[in-house]
Amino acid sequence: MTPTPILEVRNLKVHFPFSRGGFFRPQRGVIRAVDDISFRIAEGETLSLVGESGCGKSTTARAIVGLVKPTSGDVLLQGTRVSGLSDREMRPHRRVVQMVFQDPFASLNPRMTIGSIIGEPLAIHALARGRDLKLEVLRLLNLVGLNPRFLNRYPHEFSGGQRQRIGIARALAVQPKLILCDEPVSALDVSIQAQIINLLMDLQQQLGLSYLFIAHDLAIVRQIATRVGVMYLGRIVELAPAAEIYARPVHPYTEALMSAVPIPDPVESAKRRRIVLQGEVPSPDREYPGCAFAERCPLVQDRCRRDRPELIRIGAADTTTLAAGTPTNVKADTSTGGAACWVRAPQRDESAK
Amino acid sequence: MNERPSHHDTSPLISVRDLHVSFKTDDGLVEAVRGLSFDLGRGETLGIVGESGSGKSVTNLALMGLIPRPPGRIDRGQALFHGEDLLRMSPTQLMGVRGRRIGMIFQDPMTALNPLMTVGQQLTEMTQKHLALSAAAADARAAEMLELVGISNPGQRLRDYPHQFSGGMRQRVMIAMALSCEPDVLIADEPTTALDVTIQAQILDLLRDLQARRGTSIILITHDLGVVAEICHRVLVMYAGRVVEQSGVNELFASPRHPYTLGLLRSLPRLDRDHSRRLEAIPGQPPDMTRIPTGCAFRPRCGVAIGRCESESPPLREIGPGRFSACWHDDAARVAPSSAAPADGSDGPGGSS
Repeated sequence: MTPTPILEVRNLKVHFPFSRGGFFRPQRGVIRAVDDISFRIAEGETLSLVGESGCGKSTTARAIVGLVKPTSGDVLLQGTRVSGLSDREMRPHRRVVQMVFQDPFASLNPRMTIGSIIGEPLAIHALARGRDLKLEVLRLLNLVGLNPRFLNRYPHEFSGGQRQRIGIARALAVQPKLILCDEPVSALDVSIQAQIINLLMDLQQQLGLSYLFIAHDLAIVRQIATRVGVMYLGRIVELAPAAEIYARPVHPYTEALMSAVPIPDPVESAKRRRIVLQGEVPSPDREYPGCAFAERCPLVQDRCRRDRPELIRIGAADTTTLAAGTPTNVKADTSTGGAACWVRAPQRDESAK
Repeated sequence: MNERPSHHDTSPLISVRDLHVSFKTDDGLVEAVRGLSFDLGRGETLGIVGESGSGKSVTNLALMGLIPRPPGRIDRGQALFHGEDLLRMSPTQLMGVRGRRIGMIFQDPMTALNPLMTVGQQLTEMTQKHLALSAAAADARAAEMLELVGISNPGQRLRDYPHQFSGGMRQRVMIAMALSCEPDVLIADEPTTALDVTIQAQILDLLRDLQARRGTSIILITHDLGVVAEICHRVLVMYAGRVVEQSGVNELFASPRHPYTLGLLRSLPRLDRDHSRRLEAIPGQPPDMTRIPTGCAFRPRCGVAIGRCESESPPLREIGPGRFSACWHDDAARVAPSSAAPADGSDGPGGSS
């Protein structure tokens, strides 16, 4: 038996009902923001969810911490089911998972000093008081590379990179096991991004943290991730160890996504074979019976439009269906990874389901 | 600075000399651009790269006569375009240039498109006004332009409003508008920053293709060195309102000469490189533009700064054919000692505290 993962997500769906159109021609439907995804995060590892805007990666993070309500599926923190818990029941589990947000300008309260921003979670969870609290805040400032003399300053006095350090210190205050980082460096200047990535990696080493790292920048993900899940229209289309997915992307979408990333080297960039996809990500407001990527896929076959491919383990002899149907149908450990493609990862017949 | 390292006609299309732009702010005077000079050749794509506060976007606004005055002010300089100074044109003269002879593309298409007019109305308005086309001719031209930028079913789409287009399609519409009067120059300010990578790849292909077919000169303002490597011929690297390095694109990436350029390239995680190494971050923060360091503005973050860097600002000097660098170190070896990036951290001076 493998050790209990820090986080397990089972068959998570987050659907948002909508109605639009005028009074006379109302249209109703659901946006399938997250559509049946499963994954695990082990201690000390970084799983990165990547994909383009609207693919559901941020909604997944929000569902994990309870900021949005899952439509169905389970979220387990250290083996305990937390989806569906009330706020009060959730509180002890909140210490396990913390979040770092994209915009360090919007996510810090402008009226609070740095000391109180970082100390607040300690007070809420009754972890420290008075002098101990102050010492702990100083320790945290030091941990994220900020000078303790900043204690009584306000967020507006800091640059983007420094604010992101403050956000990280606040997340670390309650000694979480898992930090959900939602685009933590995309709002920062290029020269500062590397500082923050290095800091996150150092903290992981020191504290044994796990990260769910959500990003659209595949070069940064390659730097930090242990495993990568590629999302498209609310589904995970490929999940694999980082080294593997970058060296040998299996799903045609993963392949196109990687080939579209500009390489900061004109010589290398001219040598590269680029796959420029036609069209754009279609709207998640309709249901796709087959593969969600079929409309833009250069390898599309009839079957892709008809039947939905499941994540299939690649390479190994064992081609057990991954993450299919209800939790009782979870036949294999999704953390092993795989690709959901009829062409590249041929799957067993329908009867296998 | 008069030499043109280009394979095209030798007389520059735009020639900027000693441009100074400042803004009055609550925190004091911000010298956003401090003595910028460059030439744009015919059929050339010139990249202007820099981080926030480098002055790259202010340069663009100054050329377009779009600096809000007050609080902004063009203190000095000239920008010759076909022998006329863009900086001294009357609003009426500028109207004849903007859109007609210099096209513009912005980061966010929704700020440039009128939400209350159909795309067709906006496209025909330009050509009827600037080129005195008849209504019918303008319609035909508008459809032709949409087709050129890869929008299918152009006749139909002309009747749509901007909100009916997706982000990537709106960017195409804006490019179509910018090109509809066949301008000599296209100024693109972060044209793909708001787009997903697969769409970015489409837009970069489009720009490259349009330039090849029409010979339009492009000024591309961006923070993304990957985008620069993909489509630029020549690059200006800006820091704190000045050009610190100017070079052909291949030379810049193969052997960066200014410590800032070198630091930027080293701090980038790359898809095509080993990712087990730690990123070499540039320490410190971009300067607070109300308190620009004396001497070389990059000195507080520079690993090879010497005494002179603090007292005297290094001028942009020619260091090779078509290559300029603003650094007191002449020889490349001293600027780039094997791997001399100092440890990162956020307590560097120059932070905004």
